[in-house]
Amino acid sequence: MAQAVAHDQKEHAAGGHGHGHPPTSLGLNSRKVGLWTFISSEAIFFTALISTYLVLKPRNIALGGPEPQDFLGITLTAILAFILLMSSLTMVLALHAVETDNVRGTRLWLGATILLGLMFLGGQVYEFNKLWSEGFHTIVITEPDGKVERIGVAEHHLEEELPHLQAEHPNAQIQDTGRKPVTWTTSLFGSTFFTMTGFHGTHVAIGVVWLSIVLVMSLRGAISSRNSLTVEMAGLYWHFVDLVWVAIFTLIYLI
Amino acid sequence: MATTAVPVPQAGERSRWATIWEWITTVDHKRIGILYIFTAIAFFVWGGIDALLLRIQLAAPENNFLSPQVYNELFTMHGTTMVFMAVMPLNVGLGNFIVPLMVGANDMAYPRLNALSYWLFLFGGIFLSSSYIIGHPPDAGWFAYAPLSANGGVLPKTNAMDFWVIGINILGVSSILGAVNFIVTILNLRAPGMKFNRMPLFVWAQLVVAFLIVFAFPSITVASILLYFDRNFGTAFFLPERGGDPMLWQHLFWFFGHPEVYILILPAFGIISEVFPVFSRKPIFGYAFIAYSSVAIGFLGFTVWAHHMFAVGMGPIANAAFSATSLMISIPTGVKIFNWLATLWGGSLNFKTPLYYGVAFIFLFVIGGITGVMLAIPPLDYQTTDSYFVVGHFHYVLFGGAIFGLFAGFYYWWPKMFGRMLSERLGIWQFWLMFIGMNLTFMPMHYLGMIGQPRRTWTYEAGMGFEFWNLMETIGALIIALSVAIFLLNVILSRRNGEIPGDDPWDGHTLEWATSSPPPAHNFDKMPVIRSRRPVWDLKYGDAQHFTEPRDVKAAGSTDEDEHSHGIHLPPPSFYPIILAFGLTVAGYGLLYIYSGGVWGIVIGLSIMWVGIAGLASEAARD
Amino acid sequence: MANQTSSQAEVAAPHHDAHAPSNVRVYIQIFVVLFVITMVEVFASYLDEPPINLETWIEITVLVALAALKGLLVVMFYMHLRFDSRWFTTLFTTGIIIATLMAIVFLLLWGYKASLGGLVL
Ligand SMILES: [Cu+2]
Repeated sequence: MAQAVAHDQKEHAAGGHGHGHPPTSLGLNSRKVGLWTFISSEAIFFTALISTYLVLKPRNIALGGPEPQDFLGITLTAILAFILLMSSLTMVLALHAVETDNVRGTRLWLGATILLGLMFLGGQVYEFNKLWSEGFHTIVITEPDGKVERIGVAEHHLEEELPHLQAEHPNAQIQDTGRKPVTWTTSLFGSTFFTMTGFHGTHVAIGVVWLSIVLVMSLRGAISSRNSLTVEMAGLYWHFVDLVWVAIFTLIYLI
Repeated sequence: MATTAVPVPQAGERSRWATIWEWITTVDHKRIGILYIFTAIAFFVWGGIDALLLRIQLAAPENNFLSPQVYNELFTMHGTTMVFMAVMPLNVGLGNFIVPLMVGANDMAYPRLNALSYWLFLFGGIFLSSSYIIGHPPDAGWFAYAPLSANGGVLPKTNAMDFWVIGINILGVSSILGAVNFIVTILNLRAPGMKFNRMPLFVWAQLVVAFLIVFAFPSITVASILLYFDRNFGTAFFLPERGGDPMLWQHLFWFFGHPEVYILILPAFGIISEVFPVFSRKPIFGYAFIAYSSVAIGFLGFTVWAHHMFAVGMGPIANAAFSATSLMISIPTGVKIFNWLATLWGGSLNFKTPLYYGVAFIFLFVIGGITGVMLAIPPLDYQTTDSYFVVGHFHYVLFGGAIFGLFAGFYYWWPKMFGRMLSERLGIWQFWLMFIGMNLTFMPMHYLGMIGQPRRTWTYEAGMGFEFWNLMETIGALIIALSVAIFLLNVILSRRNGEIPGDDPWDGHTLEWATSSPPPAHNFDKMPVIRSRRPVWDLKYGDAQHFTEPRDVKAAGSTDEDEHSHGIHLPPPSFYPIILAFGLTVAGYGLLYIYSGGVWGIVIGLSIMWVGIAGLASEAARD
Repeated sequence: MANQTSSQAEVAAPHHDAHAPSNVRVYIQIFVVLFVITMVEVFASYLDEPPINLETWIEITVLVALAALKGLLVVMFYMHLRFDSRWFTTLFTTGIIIATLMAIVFLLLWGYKASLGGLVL
């Protein structure tokens, strides 16, 4: 807050968009200040979701839930991450085009961003579908001394894993509780994973709708460098959604 | 649709429907503030009736006035109503009216969004309250501890807590949007010369509160959404029997819940910081300390949440850490107390109702603060947790603090808001009744908690030493009710008989006293030059007395150059905020009955919302 | 407006006045860097497995650092915080600080309990 005073009363329009604005007390565009505040709030929303995933992860494993790395393919998410990064690039190119009054470029890059967003959503639908079709088995190992251990084994690893487990616990009673699909409700992993990525996907979808509206406005000739803020705002939101995926990609998929 | 910005009332020949339409479509921060205040007062009375019923039940041992289930519902709704539907919106309402005036703006930064926040608040409140009629009122406590709130446990299996979850989220959206609006208004719409270190302390407090809302609410949003999934979709985030973790609920809830306490109390700090200098005719002592200690309290407020959970077994290290951070908060709070006392010291005190409430605020809040420090010490907390000691503590903070601060603010700003004074005679009566009733109700709770009366328990056995003081508390609660009734009477009488105050009845020094009472739609005809923290005192007592043209800061972000050529640009009234809010509420009812056709409710609700969003977007593009 | 002397305005100038090529070039350069980091991340996610077998905490540190770097680049260049008013940076960082605090304390709390298998990141 200290620099608050120093920056006060700066009468230049740092936002620099549009004309004839009466100066605001920070010299900033009000909508942009509001959007950044909202993005800040959203950051905490996603942090709460990601933290939920992370703190429940050990419980999921201890209870014999599915091991995330057995199901989350790095290749697919790397492609998804690449798509979103690419869309961030097309987004800034769209903003650059609108700032230089390049109408065709604006439409082209906005369209590309929307397309990449849709590709991401498609990838996510594919991933969700694939997970739902897969299964895991909770193996309950009861040692002679009564100690109980639960291990989640992916369906596709079951045949190779079971002999291992038998070898590791020669005297234990090993019980397979049967196949469960990897869905929203069958394990903490499913609950936390689908909730978190689902909310992220919802945000991507909202971003796609927002960008589509901007594209329609552009097609109607309602977007120019005078109101490039319209594009910039949608872009800020879009980059933020990308940013969330940067975090999810690392914390959930890679670690 | 009406096409021009409507000036404040002066209805006269206008029909009743036109007036109602004006209020429904208003985007004027002053009218929205008034709507907030009256709606919140209605909920305050409702939540108070809940409390009275609880107190009647507890007046005598083994009483059968309420069944245990109804008792559960009433204490849950009492807490939820008072926190989300009374004190918060009272703060927002006062802030809505006063903050733009104080910073010299002619409205909030986003007037339509402001209206949307109000309608979401109203509909969210109606949504929650409708549980009395069409369902079952929430019954698992205002902090909705899972798994009790998730699978009901011993409670009847109803959709009561779905009402709570969805209602809280509608109110949460309202709060977050409102908070963003306050932040942008305060940061960006200050009049020329209104530097940060000249901002009134009430504005500082509202700024910090807005940040707290923006950063704290996402946590309860996530928590309550997960709870909804647990209740309706078969997940098990908080269900220990299926591996979930009830502690997760508690942490997510209190990460919100503790800052929420400051969201409730900081505006009262701000009000007191405005009232004391005016009524002791002397500048505030330690302006910077008060302003920055608000910021410090706000920030530290995010590091202490688990002091609500000492007894659940986090272990000694976590308990010690959260105890230490909690104790640290008493430092910036103490700084404020001493600054207020120093402001009063040596001032020529003008003992009017606002100052009565202000002085009582210090007295009562210090008691609540000290018991708070006690509760921040784990060994003491082990003994007193979930007892009436805790109930006594937080009522000293929230009733003795927030409510007393708000009453100080009402008596102080009522003439500005309505152009009528509240009666001083009734005000003093109201004050003493409230002061006596408040202490009679809540002081014995400390003792009863110490000797073992548990909170949230519908009755107690005779012969445990609880009888006498419980009866006294009930009498105290009735005295509070009488006091509130006198306030309402005062409000009603003031409309006709209230003294006409003039622009500046208290010899105020902040900008709202430089305009008429009530202010015109555009707030200021002429704007005093702001060269200090007390521009209106400069004007009245300074050497250079001049005005400037008010600056049209609201239109920032607009692209239509023509609009700025003549005077102040006020956005036209809009019907879309209420549409959008209505759509979200319909979707909320859809979520409530998700397994009996509620999906259609969601679809219809979202469609209505879309109409609102599209309408607002096109209006925003036009101005 | 043009002859602003504040450092903030000077920083802002190149962004708004610069011409197409330099801007676009920076955007593309940033994208290339982001792409490379992502590839490195994928590679780094195998650090704690054969044949490299580094400690898991080292892998986690590397991955979190890389993600933070990516985030920083996106925020600074694509979201323009590098060139925009410091106010936006302040607003955003405040939220990020509180969010980080939340995440770290949550992990510490659950790691400390360690009753159900400890904190297995
Ligand atoms: Cu607390």
